[in-house]
Amino acid sequence: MGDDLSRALSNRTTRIASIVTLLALFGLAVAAWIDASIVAVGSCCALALIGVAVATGSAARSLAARDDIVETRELPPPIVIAPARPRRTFLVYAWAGAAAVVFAALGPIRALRGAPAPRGTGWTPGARLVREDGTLVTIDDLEIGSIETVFPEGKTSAAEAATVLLRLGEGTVASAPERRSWTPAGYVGFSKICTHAGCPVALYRRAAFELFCPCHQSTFDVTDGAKPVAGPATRPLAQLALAIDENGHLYAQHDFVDPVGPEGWSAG
Amino acid sequence: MIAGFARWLDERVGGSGVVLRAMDKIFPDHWAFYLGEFALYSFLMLVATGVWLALAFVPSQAMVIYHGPYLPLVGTPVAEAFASVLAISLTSPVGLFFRQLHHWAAVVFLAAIILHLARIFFTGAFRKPREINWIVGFTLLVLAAVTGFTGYSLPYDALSGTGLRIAISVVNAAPLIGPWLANAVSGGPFGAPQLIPHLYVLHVYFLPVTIGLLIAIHLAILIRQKHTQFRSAPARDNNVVGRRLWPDYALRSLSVGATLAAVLAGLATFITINPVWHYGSYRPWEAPAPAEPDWYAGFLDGALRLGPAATLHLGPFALASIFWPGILMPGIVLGVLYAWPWIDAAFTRDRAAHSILQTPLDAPWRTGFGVAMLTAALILTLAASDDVQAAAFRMSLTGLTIFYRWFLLIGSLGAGFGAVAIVYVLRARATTPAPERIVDLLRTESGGFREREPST
Repeated sequence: MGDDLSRALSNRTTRIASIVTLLALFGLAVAAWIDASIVAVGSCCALALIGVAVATGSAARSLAARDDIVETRELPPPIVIAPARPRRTFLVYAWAGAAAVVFAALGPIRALRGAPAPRGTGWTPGARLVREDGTLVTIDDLEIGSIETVFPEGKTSAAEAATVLLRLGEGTVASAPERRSWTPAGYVGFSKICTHAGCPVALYRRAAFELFCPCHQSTFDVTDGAKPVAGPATRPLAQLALAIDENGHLYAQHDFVDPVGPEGWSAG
Repeated sequence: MIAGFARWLDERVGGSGVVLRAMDKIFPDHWAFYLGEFALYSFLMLVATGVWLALAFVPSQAMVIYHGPYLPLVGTPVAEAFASVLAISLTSPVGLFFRQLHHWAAVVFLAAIILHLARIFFTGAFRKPREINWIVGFTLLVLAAVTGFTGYSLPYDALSGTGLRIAISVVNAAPLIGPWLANAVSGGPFGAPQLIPHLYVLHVYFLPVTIGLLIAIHLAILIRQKHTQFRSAPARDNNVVGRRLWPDYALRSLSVGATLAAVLAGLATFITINPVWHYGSYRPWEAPAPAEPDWYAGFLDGALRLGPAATLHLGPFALASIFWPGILMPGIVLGVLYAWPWIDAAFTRDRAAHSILQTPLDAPWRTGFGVAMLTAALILTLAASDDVQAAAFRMSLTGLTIFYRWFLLIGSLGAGFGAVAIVYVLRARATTPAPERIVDLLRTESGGFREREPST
């Protein structure tokens, strides 16, 4: 075996390929050291690997003429376990022990959940609407048919508070009677987090009055309380109760009443 | 020199007998047997590049103002993790090369595992006594997909952040443990600062170590049971025909592995993969459109798009519409595939041990089932880009969704039954060889031969 191997490894191609590998590895070290281009680094690496492939492949080829070997597949006779059944109590203890270990792990894993979530999304009564850059939204800022992403003032990174503000124009909004006062001057606000899988409902189809989620195509009718009209979502987007103060700035009357974010096992 | 070192080692720890016997192991040769090795070599590449990347990456969601070579983002707030990926990619060629090599190797790792499992499936290699290795191998596929997804998520870019949000929403919809698990993974509600550090530990430590252990078990069982082989003249269920591990098979394997690695290095050098700087840092209120996941998660995203808008309320709990395609469907598929060796044995009533492989023609219904499953996965993956298709072909998205639902049902059933039909046609065509006639030849006085008359 040893002779075959040394003969295989000493063939010309294997030798040349091995030298190529050594040179390429040296090149790789230099190229990486001097921060040459990715083409230099990557080509040296690829070349070194090609050298290994050719060297071993050529050696394997020169062994290919050898005959196949037949080896028996010994199947050791199974040890027959005496049919003495383990005591029932032992099994009960074993299963109970395993279950207890798994159960005991639940607590420590739960402890990874970090600080308790702050109550609410960040919209406090009277919180003024700002854009991501912190500028206030005034009554004349949006033309009818346009949209804006808004946050509570001072909380522009509160992801759960992200809200789509639309100006639909008066008469377009069909709200429930108790929500008539939520849409001053034709403005409506809906949570931007899709109730299906939590993607931002980022696209607005102006002609159809629909908010559209680019992830799984849930579609919400903004003239009718953002009820889902197509796609996999089953819950409307939560609506933000808006109002306008004496300076013409939009503000929230209070936090979302309806649940925000994707539906999960815990309803509500 | 090697012999001297071997003796030195043997005098201290022993075990040369085991090593020599392992080196003499016989392996049968066939191109399809290299698919699993592709996976193994990809894993080695992943570890080699991953160690470097783990040291250079900063697992933090804290927002920082970007100052670096990528001008469009200079002065904007980005996550620290994202900034560190940009630093890895854009300040040194080694970093970009390793990152792209890592991502390409992950793509090939998953593809190789899937092809390897398909080979095992269609040749019946999971049958007794190899059920354990089927379970181990399938677990490796699941772990590889989770590892791939966690790694893809670490840069916290706009694309992967959106995928992460969806994944955690799916977890949150799992009955009983969902909210508990989603909270533990995120370290609080979604967006809590512990999410990326948790994923980092899973991705660089827990998952790869588990995969490494399972690979060791997988190979140990393989060596113990010896490799399966295709039908050939000398091959029997109780032997193995091939070449020794050392040097014959080892050299072939090394050559194949180095070729694969060279191809990966070439891809990493010349073909950009996942240029996160184009996507920007993740902001939960901005969605990239179109948004599609890495290819191996595509079937799940497609399923989420085709799923029904149906929530089942159960008092304080609910089975949300994301539950059916996100938890139930993959759960059933996973359960059936895990149990496949036993399902197959029950259907074929064959509980004997086998080491000679079948071909897809030997088991028409198994072949049909496998083809149907692969077709379903393919159709669901296509459905994951239905918005792009609707825009490209100017079709209604709702109409396309309904089309895909029917396509999934009829396409996969049709492909499955079609495969069964093709198998039966091919089997009927295959000419049955004439039964061998064994005769005794007698030498005649003149030097010729004649058959001995059959004795009565």
